[in-house]
Amino acid sequence: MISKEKLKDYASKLMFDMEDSEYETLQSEFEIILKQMDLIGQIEGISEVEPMTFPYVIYHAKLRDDVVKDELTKEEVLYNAKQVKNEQVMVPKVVE
Amino acid sequence: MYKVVIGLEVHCELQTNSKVFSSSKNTYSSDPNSHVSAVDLGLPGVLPVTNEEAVKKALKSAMALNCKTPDEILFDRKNYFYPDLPKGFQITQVTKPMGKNGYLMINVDGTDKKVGIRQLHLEEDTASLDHYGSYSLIDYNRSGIPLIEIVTEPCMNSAEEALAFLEALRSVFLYCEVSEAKSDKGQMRCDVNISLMEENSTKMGTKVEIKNINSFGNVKEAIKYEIKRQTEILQSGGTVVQETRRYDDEDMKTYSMRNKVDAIDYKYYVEPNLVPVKLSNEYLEEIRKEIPPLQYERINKYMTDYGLSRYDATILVKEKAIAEYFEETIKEGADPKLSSNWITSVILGHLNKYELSITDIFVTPKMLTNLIKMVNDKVISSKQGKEVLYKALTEEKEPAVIVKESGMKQIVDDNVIEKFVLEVLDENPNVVLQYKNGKTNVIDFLVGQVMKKSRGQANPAMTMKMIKEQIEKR
Repeated sequence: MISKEKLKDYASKLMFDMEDSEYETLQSEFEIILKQMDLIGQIEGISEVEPMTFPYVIYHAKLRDDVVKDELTKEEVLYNAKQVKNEQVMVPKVVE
Repeated sequence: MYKVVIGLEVHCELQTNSKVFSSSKNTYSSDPNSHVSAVDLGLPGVLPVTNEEAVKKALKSAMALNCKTPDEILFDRKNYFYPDLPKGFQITQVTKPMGKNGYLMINVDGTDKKVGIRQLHLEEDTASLDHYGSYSLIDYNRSGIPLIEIVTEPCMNSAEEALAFLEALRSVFLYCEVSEAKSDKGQMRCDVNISLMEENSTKMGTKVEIKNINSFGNVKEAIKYEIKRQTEILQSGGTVVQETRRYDDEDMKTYSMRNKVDAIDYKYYVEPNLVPVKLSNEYLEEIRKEIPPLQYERINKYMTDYGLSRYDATILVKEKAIAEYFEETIKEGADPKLSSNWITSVILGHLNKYELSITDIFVTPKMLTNLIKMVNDKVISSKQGKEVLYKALTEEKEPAVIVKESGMKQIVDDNVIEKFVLEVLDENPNVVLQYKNGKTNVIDFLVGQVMKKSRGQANPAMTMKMIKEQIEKR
């Protein structure tokens, strides 16, 4: 079972918060999901099945050749920055 | 007394043309944001594409460190929020790292030790951040540079062992040509895990992690400081807090950054944008073939097969090119001990003086071997040999030519020396008499006279012997 405290902890780690009623909705949805997971867990021999992260495995993939290309200009790199100083992106001080 | 337990996490940037998941240039540049692609910035819609060279070099490093390699290339996503990571996650490896359960042999004060390697994985480096009074500046040049992280077992017990491991590890990177491994350029960085335990206890102490130490010297200082700090806490009856600390190289102390309660949950999962790629045995064997004999192996070979001292062997293997030069002279037929002497005393001195690499010098292993043979065959004396080698190095002339041109030759013909000896004895009957009366040190004068007559070319040992024999006869 998933508790409201646990959801609050996750939310805090992901840096957001919600109304109490929203947590309750989320909690009831999680309960359904967990029940479904339980059902899957009951399938015979399931523990011996390797988790599938991709539908197929590539055996003879050609990885990328080590060639330099597609660099952006400095103007393009800094285009989206709110503030720029010394050709670098300027942000509020982040060191602890 | 407490026993120190140290484990290391070492990051090393791989030497490739382009970055690990994008095609922008992998370079150390002082011009900020000059080698950046859309992938490095994590712009919407971009996809990573794995650089084969980075994969090969990571696998090569793993094999050189005796690690087990995986059956496929698989990456994971490590999620965290920080300005050095524009897309909000780092592509790294957790599920199937490039190497697992390896080891590296080190030697501290003549004693061998096996340092266990828990794992080696390939990941992307982050952007670099510089902090100022009220703001931080981001340079994305470093973002996406291929990085391998090596995690050791907690099995080192002193600052010296940790340092020996780092030196040995750097030599593996240099010998395998996977990285320049320069710590002053941030290409090799190190985190230290350190704890103290009761001397005879089996229970590990509380571990403290020291982050981002920027030089090998500082690793040593940070460990020393931390041993002192933790010892003082334990001796006064306190407990060491499990936390992450940083090392300040100005006052040579460590400072608390965060404790375990604040530990970040990275929510790792398999990177969905990169499909797993199976690794065939043939592919892995091709990579394995490129690993040269490493330092540790070469030192042992030089000591057991060639009878060199550990000291000399260690000097010769410091650089792969020097070790190869030395081995080449042996293949050419040089005596290993003599070759080692000539290289360490004359050639390395020359390299240091002019800041050269051994691959820059004019004298080839074959030329050196011939020179050593000339001395061995008494064609020239050992002193003359050194002069010739200096000349050959500075004037870029073949030693054999120098010997010929300067008429530098040692006379080893008995008959020729005898002629000079008889002349000198005939010319100096008083000195011969002095010798006979017990004033034996006058023999030096007689040898000197023979040298004068032969223009310094008579073999001194033979001359001395012959003078004694001839005086006996008189």
